[in-house]
Amino acid sequence: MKSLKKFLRTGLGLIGALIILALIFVALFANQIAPYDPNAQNYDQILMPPNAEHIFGTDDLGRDIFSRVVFGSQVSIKAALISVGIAMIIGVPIGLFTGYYRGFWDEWVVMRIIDAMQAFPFLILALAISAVLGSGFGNAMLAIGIGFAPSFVRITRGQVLSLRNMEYVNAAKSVGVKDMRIIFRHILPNALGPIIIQATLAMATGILAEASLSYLGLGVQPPTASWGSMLNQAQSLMSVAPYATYYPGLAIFIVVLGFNLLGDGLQQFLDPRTRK
Amino acid sequence: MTAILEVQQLKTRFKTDHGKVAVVDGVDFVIRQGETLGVVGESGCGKSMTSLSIMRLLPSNGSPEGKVLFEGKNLLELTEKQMQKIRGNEIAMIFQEPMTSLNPLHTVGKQIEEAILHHRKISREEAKKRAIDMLKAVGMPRADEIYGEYPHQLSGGMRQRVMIAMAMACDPKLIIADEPTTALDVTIQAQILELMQELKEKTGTSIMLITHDLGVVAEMCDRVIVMYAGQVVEEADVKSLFEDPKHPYTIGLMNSIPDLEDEREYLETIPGSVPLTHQMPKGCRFAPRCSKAMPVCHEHPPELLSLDDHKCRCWLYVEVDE
Repeated sequence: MKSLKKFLRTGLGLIGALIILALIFVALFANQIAPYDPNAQNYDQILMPPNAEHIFGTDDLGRDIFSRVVFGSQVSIKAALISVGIAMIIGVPIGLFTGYYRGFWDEWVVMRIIDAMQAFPFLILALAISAVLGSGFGNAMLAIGIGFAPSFVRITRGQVLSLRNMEYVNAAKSVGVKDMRIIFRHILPNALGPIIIQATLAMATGILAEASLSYLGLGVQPPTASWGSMLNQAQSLMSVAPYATYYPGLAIFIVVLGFNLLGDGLQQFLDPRTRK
Repeated sequence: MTAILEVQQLKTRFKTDHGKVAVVDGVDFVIRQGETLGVVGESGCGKSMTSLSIMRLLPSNGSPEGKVLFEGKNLLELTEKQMQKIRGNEIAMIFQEPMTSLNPLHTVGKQIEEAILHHRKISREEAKKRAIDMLKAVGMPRADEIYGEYPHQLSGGMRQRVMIAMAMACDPKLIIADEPTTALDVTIQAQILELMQELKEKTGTSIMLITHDLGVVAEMCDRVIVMYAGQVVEEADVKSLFEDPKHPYTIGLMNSIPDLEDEREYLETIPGSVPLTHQMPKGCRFAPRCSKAMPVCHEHPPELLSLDDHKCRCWLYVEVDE
């Protein structure tokens, strides 16, 4: 509780946290918040601009955009958490161990595989993986997660490489502390700041990547609403109904901002020099 | 007095771009129980690498050869697991940089406890009590509060006290102190040295004190080895070393200490610097910088000779039959 208070005092982090909390709230209570069924088509009210009945307007199938944005939050939050979660579960341990032990496996196997993976544009890589795995939300998440993993390996490894030479690591070794404990208790907590920043940025990218894969038919299957797929569908209607792009776009913008502010706040909070 | 640590023909080599180079080249010495051994020399002459070889904490491209006998066991032959039982428990180390030797994310108390909990089968409360006792033993005021503080809240001198508390927490038989006072200012240096001396007398541990400060040696040590370019060039008890230094390098080191009563206009220096490890001279390693160098010095490396109470690696003390 005491540390929670300290975190809240970091200001911008608080705003970020509030945005993310609001997102979670909307996702959890989507059924109560949305005035309409997000997938119900109403051909009497096609492409209505925002009005009293449909506050965000309707799309080309007469679906209520506000309800779709509300339900889209569920997909986006899942996309952000699951893809980054998978990437961290794969990437962070690999980065920790290769960075700490170095040697042949690190230099000639793991890092070269990662170079090869990073040589492809991220989306192409994710596309290739989901083409192998097949379509569907779960496979899309796995594909994005695997695509993100190299950046987590790199950022973790980079941190470990500099931290393993710190005197306090040597000092811990000199009192007989075992490797595992040094890795997880002395190195990992000190490496966490950049990893968390990377995670929040990746969550933002994850939301976008899910949208792209969904658009290509490899992610969320229609008619399920996700912000990215709404944006992509609205793109062709830009000249007739520009408002249809505003709201999913705004939702993505706010949530990405929220994740970034949260990341900044966490970084400040995790640094004991600013914690006091 | 029995020998607690015996280093025999220690040779530590590093793989580098210039091939394998020996940074420690055939070092022998003994540390007896309750004794303080000073290891003196310029930067880059292998002092720290000797200590890291003993602890087996060398960077991964370095490998030690020879024998490091600690109470009869050769540390170089132990497995990593057996070594972890020795580190901190039997041999502990104090590092040069108190500002970076403590993990910034953990309280100092937890870091002292870590060493204790690792080696002793005791409860957390007992370990905490021991940690606070250790903080008191190293002269920390408000030990109970300091226990819960983070390293950045402490000054350099206090952090070094914490490091000493950490090193002493498990009553090691030998403490290796690698330039423990170099990063501290002079008044704090004196306090830390006094503290180490006091603790040593109380607990009877042996200390291997690595330093380039001959003043510290004179104050603290019983015996001294002088290292140059990875080799021992002189070994003597502290009194005879200061009264009658033999090796020209030792003499040079002593002449380059400023003296208040002396009215020298210039401070003497030793010209040049320690040769690079992959470009060692053929003969005596100090010959290129030595004012007394003879032709033989440049041709053949001298042996470490025993001269009554001294050991010295220099051709000046060899009767050469031509």
